[in-house]
Amino acid sequence: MSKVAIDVPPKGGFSFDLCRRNEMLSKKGVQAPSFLKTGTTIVGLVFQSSAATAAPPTLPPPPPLPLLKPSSASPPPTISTKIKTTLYFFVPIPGAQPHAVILDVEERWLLRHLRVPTRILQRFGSKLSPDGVILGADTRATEGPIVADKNCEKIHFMAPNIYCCGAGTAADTEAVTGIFNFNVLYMVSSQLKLHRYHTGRESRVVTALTLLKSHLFSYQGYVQAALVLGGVDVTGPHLHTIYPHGSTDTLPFVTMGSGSLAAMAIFESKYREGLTRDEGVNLVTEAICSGIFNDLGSGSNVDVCVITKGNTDYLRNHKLPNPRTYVNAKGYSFTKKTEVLLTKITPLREKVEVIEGGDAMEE
Amino acid sequence: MDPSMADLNSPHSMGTTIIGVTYDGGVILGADSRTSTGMYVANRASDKITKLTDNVYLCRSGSAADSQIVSDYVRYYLHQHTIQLGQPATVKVAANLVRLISYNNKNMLQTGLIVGGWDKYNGGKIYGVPLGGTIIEQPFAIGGSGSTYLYGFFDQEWKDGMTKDEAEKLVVKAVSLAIARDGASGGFVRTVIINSEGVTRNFYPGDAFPLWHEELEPQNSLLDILSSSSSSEPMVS
Repeated sequence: MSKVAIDVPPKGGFSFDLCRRNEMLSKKGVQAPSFLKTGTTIVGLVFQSSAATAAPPTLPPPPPLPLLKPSSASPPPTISTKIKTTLYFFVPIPGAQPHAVILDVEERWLLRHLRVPTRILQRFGSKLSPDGVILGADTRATEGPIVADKNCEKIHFMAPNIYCCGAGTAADTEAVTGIFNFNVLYMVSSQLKLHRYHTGRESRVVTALTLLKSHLFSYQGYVQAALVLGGVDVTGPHLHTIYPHGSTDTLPFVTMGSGSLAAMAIFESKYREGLTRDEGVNLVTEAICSGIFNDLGSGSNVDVCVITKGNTDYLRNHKLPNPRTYVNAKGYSFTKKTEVLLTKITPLREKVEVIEGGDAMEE
Repeated sequence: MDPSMADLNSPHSMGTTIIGVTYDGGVILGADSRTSTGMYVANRASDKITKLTDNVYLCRSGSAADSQIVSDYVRYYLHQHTIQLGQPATVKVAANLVRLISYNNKNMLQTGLIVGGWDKYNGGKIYGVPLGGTIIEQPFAIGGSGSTYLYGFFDQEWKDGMTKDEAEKLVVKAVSLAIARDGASGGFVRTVIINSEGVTRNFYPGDAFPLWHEELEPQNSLLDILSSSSSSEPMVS
């Protein structure tokens, strides 16, 4: 193909030029790479911290818009912002805590077809004075019938006060909502951060909603990301679902993903207005467990994220209902270890020592 | 794609019943509350009557994403127009903006809309903007998948110059009849009344309207019906 024939997509667009080539290849019998699907259960819930009183409490006057100060913004939970390179595919050490799989740029690109079927359940508390939002998710990522990742993260950071659960193609979800951008142009969380710098205010959930919605709509459903967006901002707690075609719903409780029907069954029977935080977390956990045990695409552990005004608790692996039952007490032993002959450590950066009191340079 | 995933990957659409009716002094818009993806009800409490301006509302049907985007664009343009004009926009302008977007993007959009509102020059007006982007001013308009069951009903029941209560009862009755017969419509009935005094939103849950032909009383569970009924056929009341 000559350089002239390659069309450069207009800025901001996605080029479908290779579709015909792919079609031609698949007709000739070339196997397309399979998708890594993550069946998931993701949940969210809004709750009320104080016990439901007889008289509905009146809404307090809206607080003045807070100016964003670095000290007041709660730091994002460490797990979601650590950028490490830990591949879960290595043999895990028995007895170690299951840890998050955080991949670097290259690894993410290699796993770009990873699909995350998820169930997102979200629930509200009383609408009159709701205190927060609870998001929940399972942790299984599948590639066809195989579980590719037993403990992946489906609750993504958008802003310190806004989190987003993603179902659908994992690469898309991660790319749309997360820090790593491959085939989509803008990450909403980066956009939100820039917006925060620009306005000097805490991000609002509807901002994130509009950015995600317009992004997904412009790709006409080809970016297969079904999202549950929850957060608490100056206007209160919010919970939204965003479908791959770009439509949104605002509800007190929602489920998404392959296990959504099982989780919705739990929600529809047990949800009521005015749940307290602990009741809410229990209900979310129960609903995710229902998805884990009744849906083949969901499994492993339960992640919960509780967002309240000014505080976010990311309860990674809040419940581990699928422990590894048969663990060899002897542990692993590798035969024929390689003998260490020589150990030499070369620091990559030289430590330079500054000696005070030297003579000044003179001409 | 296995059948269980097929539903969840279907485009989010609103098999719907939407109605707009003029009465003496304003308009009443009515809709059901069901949004489905394939055979699964994604949202049983959706609000299909969205605000464009203080005095103009829009009933949405068809693809949920398309209709939400169209309403967002029109709301934006109408807001600008109101600022430039210096007074509230007329229903006709709102309907024409909806029509321009629908018509010029007809290949890519799949949405049927009903624009209704009140302005001081023409009073209450209803404009239908169905699939291709036609605009048609009507005394009443029906749309969505459930509307097919209502053409005959409206031919008989519609009268010019109804009062507000008569018109609202008509709208609620019509939507509940459509819900009874159309699988893609369901939930409860939302109405929005727009007149010179302002906007009133109402909500009619399932027990607010009577049971139609062959509808059963709502039960807590199938087991109640089976255990209480003495006849051998459980579903015969």
